[in-house]
Amino acid sequence: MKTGFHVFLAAFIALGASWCGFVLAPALQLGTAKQAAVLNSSDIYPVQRSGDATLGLQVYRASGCAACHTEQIQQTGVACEIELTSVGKNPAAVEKQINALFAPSPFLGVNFITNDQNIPYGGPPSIDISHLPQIILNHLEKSKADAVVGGITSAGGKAEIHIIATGTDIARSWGLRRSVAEDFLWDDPVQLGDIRVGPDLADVGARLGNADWQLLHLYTPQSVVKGSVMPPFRFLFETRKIAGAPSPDALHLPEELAPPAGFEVVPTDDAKNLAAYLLSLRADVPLYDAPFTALQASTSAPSNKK
Amino acid sequence: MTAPTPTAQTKAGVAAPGQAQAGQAGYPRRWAMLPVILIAMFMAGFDIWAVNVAAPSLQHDLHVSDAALQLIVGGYAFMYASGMVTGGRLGDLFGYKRLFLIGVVTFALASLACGVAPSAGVLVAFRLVQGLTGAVMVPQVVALITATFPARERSRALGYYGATMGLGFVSGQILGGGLIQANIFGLGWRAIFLVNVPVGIVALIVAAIVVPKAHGLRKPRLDPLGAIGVSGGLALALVASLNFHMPEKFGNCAWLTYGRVQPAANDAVLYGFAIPAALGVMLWIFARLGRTELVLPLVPVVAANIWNLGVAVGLVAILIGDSTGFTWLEFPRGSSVLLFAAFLLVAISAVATFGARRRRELHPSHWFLLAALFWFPWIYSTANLFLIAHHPVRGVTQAVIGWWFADNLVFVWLALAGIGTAFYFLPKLAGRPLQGHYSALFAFLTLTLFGTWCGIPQGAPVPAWLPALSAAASALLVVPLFVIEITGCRTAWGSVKSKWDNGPFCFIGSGMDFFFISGLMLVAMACPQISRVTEFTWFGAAQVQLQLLGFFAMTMFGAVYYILPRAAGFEFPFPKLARVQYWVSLAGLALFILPLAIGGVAQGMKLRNPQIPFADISNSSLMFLRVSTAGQLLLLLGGLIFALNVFGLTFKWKMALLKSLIAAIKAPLEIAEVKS
Repeated sequence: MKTGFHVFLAAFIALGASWCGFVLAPALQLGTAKQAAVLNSSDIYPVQRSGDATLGLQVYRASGCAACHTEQIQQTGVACEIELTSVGKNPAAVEKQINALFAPSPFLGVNFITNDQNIPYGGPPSIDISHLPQIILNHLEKSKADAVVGGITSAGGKAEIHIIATGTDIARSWGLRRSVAEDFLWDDPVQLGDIRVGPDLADVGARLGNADWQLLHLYTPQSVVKGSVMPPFRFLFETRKIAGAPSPDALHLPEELAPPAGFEVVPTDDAKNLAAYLLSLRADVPLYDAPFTALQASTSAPSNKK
Repeated sequence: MTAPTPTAQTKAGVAAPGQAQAGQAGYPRRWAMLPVILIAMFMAGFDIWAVNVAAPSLQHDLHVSDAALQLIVGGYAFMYASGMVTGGRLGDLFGYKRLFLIGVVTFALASLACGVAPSAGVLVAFRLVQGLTGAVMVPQVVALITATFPARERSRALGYYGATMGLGFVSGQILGGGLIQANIFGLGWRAIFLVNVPVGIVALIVAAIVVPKAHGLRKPRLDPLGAIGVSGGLALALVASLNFHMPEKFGNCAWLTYGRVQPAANDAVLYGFAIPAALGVMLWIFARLGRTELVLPLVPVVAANIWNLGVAVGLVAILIGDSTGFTWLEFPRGSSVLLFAAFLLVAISAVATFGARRRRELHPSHWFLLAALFWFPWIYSTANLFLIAHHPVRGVTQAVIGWWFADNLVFVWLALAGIGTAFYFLPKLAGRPLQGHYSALFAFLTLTLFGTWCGIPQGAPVPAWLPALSAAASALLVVPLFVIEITGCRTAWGSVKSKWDNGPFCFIGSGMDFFFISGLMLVAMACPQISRVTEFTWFGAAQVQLQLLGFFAMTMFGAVYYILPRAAGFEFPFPKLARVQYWVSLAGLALFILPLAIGGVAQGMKLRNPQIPFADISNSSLMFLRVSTAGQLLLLLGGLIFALNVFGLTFKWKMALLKSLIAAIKAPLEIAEVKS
């Protein structure tokens, strides 16, 4: 470092390298990203947001919602569960096949399934064939799940593999799978957020999909969610005199917050747009890089949404 | 010809006002000089008034519209009046003679251009230029009179000055009319401009001979606005955290909502205090290390105003909901352009000062500070162009570039500027050279090489190679962190114990330690195992605040406490309060950062257990937030003490300026150097 030029060169090389790595390369790799295909479907994802939801993203940005909320679900991995849908003509053979999976291995002294871990069953599952379909195993690796289903099929039964994302975010019902790059294709600005003062919102539209609930929550978070620390966003609402018929948009407020008689609290366009944006946050379709089995409710999957 | 009393050479812009010594005799050729400079002034005054008379003929010849005529007449006066202050200041800085000669030459050229103007548009443009050059020329006249005439003659000289001003007014109307009427060579109205050319040439030649070289004191300019930046930022941060304690209070006020006040607070501290303070300190260090004066001293002054305007616009924009939505880049486009331009201006002055250094070999501080000057324009322009320009990149690429920018600004840039500052002041304060030239070099290279790749969070929804690369770079970052800390400690420990009574030393020493801790926190957060707990928690906020307020602000406080008294030639009004501020800030930092860090880990542990309802987690964080709000209060108190001291010093300095001005009016001679 004898001259200013040496310093310049060192700084140029260091910063230039990271610029190529973290600015240029992602721009080239992701900049041309297109919509992705939804797994086992002909749909593409994500669809463009509606006009009011697009405007709502700007309200989300202007109000600094990302200072407290993330929009990124994380998962630790995937697990498979097996749903027995039919035992075919020979239930005993299917049962025997399944029990064999739990028999001690002749070489290792452990059985095929439980040398793994996390098996909630103490022994072979007791299959009550009167209640089909039924989840008979879960928390399996994909290869093992394939082997089990292969065995059941060879015995004449039928079974399906469900892929379930795992992780605390999923267990909190904040989403069904991890967030991936595709989820943010249409967002500008992308509001990932970096702190969870409030819950994650990546899938809030699927989780809390009622516009009236969202508006009421924005107006008075504490009376909707007990113990919430969210500040109210009353400046997005207008208290006005009822002129003629009450507005259909007026909030149904609890007693202590209700405006004086003859007045009503109505959401402004900003509030409605923000609610529309929140409802549009749905990361609930399986993708190639974030697969899961979309369940039609009714099953006892651990990640079942409420 | 001998100079009467060339007085003490002002040192690198550090002379105090009022130091100027007075000569009794005055400048021998002062009476020869007076007519020359007064003629120049006469030209400037003449042209204000003569054009009024020329208006009808102008309108006839050039088919000037009424609006353009207004500009031809008034534009000159406007530029003339508004440029005077700057012109006077330029004269103080670069010498009255030089500026006077420049003014005469450019005034004559602009007059020539006006005289031959083919169209109304060209005439308007050159009238504006002419006004500006008049503003460069005229303030030097009074300054030269004050500088060269002894007190007993000064009033007479100033009397001639006033008479000339009046003469310009009267003769502008009469002589101007006469010139147009006479229609010499068929020039018509053009004569009133062209007459300036021969007069200007004569004035230039004579003035070059008889006008003495003189310039005013190179006064340092104090910019106390930075002190507002830190206090303002901390006050905003306090409002932000009050949102947690009484959410109901802020529900009706859009601009006080947490999501707006919190980024505004961060930006006020970073852009309103940290970066401008660092730039000011940088200029000082470059001048001192190079044993030279600041080159282009007016440029940073202009830049500071542009910068402050940009920050003010940006903060208001955030509060009214016009933020861009990117962390550390919330300021909207117009504000960013101002900041960028201001930074470049300062960088030009800094690089020019660096180039003009008399001591050629580089100090370790030079590496860090030069790199910082280079770093900011690159990352700031990249981030603005890719994220906020007309066609921002799509999707998560935005987030990746945003993280890259945030890391390079809040970690790397602050590290470069802060460590560069500390490596200059620590040896100075400890009274021994920096221990380990090569370890400093090693630290510089590894810090820039690894630091710039950090910042991509581990669980981010981006292609996996990005966080993996970031984790690897963060792990390697441990190397420069330890080298810097060891270098700092080896330099500081050798010093005598009493150094710890020294305010700046305490501030900078603690700042270095906080850098080490904040760096280790950054490394920890990039480790995949730890990040699973710390991600999305207050721990990240604790790291950023420690970097910004613990490391950087403390280092800058120390540097400012060192520099300002020397720059102004005064002690701080409350030197004891520096110690108080140190301890208050230290307590504030502990109360602010520790609860956030501990609370963050607790929050992370609970977030990992899906059995714990989310509302319980956010409520149990509130206890930590309450303590940290108390810490913020203390930090704010520290910031206010700092502001009090800086403003007090500025006030003392301004009072002294005023006194010296009054003294100058009474006293024989005020100017520092009078040479022929």
